[in-house]
Amino acid sequence: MDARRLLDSLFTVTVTLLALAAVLPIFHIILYITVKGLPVVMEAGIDFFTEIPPSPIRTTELGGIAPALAGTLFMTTVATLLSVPIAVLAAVFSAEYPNHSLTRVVRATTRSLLEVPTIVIGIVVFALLVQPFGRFTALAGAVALAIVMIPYVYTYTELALLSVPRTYIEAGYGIGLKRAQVIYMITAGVARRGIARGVTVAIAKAMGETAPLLFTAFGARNMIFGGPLEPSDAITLMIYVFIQSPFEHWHKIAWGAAFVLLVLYLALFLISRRLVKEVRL
Amino acid sequence: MGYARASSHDKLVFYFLAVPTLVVILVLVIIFLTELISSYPIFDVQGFWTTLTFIGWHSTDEPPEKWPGPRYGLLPLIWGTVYLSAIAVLIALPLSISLAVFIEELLPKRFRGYMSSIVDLMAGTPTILFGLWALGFLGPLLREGFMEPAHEHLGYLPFFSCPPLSHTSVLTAGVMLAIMIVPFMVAVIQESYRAIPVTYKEAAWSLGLTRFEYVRLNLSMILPAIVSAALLGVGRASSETAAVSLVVGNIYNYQPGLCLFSPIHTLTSIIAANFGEVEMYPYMREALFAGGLVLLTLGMIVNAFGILLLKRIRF
Repeated sequence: MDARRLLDSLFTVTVTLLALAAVLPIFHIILYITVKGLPVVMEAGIDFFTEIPPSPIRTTELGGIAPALAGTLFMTTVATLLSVPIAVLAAVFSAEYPNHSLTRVVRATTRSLLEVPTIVIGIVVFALLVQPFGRFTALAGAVALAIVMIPYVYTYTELALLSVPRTYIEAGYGIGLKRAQVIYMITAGVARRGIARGVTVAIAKAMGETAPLLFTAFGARNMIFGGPLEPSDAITLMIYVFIQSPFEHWHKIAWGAAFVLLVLYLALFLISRRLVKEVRL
Repeated sequence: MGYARASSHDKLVFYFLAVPTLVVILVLVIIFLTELISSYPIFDVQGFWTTLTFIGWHSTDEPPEKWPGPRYGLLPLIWGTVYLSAIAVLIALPLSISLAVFIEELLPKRFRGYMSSIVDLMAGTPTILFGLWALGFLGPLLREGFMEPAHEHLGYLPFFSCPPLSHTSVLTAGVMLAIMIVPFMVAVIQESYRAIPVTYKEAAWSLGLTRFEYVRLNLSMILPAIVSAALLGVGRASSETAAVSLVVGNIYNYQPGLCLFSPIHTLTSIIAANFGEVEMYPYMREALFAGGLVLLTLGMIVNAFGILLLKRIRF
């Protein structure tokens, strides 16, 4: 075997090993969190989803993560309702007027928004929506998450809209549809699965965010949900706080909550896959 | 007449879509303005350069007349962010290039879809889960398997000079971040790799190159994309907060240096750790906003370079 062949084999082995090293951690993470978290959820039983967490002292009961679940559900829902209309319509604008100067600006803007550290979004929302009112609120958390979601929804939607065949759109105008009708019935109609995928990806992102909630929703665990104008917990927030606490049973709860978060994420991921597979023109 | 009606209808559609577009733009403008306004006082009272270059973090409630010197310096935090991101990208780069090449050249076609799904799965995983894993598994593994032996035997090197007192350190966070940014870097490299025209590839094969020589040639054609992927990785790594703050050690480093085993603070981790106390200490809020502003500015510059580089690839 000459040197070139030897080098080639060495290359193949090295690339394969490094590629495996790159993807193995995610499997180990899934396994590790399941091994640490699933027994906690089993031990706590159904209470894990309906009870409030225990006090750190004088008890070793597990309680539940209901405030975190309710908070994540509320804030992710409100963030979706706030961000999706804005981001989708902005993406429709970009697809409809591709040469308009506003389109160039909004493309650069969303690319930049994607790069803004989410902790910065958190403290900016703190300065604008928490400090003036003197209280942490679930609504402020939702606004922060909405800002996180906007660039994801925009990017996926624009991509989906631009992939709609030009002939379809022209056919729409050909049968006498007005612009709004073409956009609504044809462009958005054909691209709806792509848009739905963008929304799903963005929801998964918002659900998994911790930093933007630290100083907006802040966390409240003595009741399940106090309302939009009260502080609120979230699954991520709870994991972050509990794992850094000195209490053994809080650590266990954090692992259980991590397992719940993982399952929710995997479910959303599978939904987003399904959505894309069914795009057939 | 029909045309005139259509035109007013078109105008309505235009404005209906232009308003949300302006809202998106406004969001970024507001973020920048709030950052500027909120950090201005610290630059005003300490001076711009002093704030950037001073080493020290004095959480004191003394009013300015009793504490004339600077209170909060960002230098160790900027260094922490830069060093941590560099470690992450240096580890992630060979992994990302290999994974992209593996998917494109070595993996049988029918498995490529699955591999791409795994990459997407990695990209979207809640970052706190990476943080938990690094805290519970990766940190202890690195400490026993690498940090302690490296310090014992190679302690004379500046990278290994400090004793690994805990499993939270800049190295733990760096390795974790490397794993986290791989999917984003792979996406950029893969996209450019695919864009190489088939005729080029066929020409390369016809020369009788081995696979290694062929891949090396292809990679040399998309070098700007690889650099761009690295820059994207820096952007991602420098802005991560929750996962980093779990494993980076969270200690303001008075002697910023090259040691991989020291616990540090970064621009993001210090915000997560200290922002809850801003009511108690004058100018701390402003100092943390200034850290955010530096982060934002660095991110924008890195991002702009990355996009410029990608535009340089023309086949």
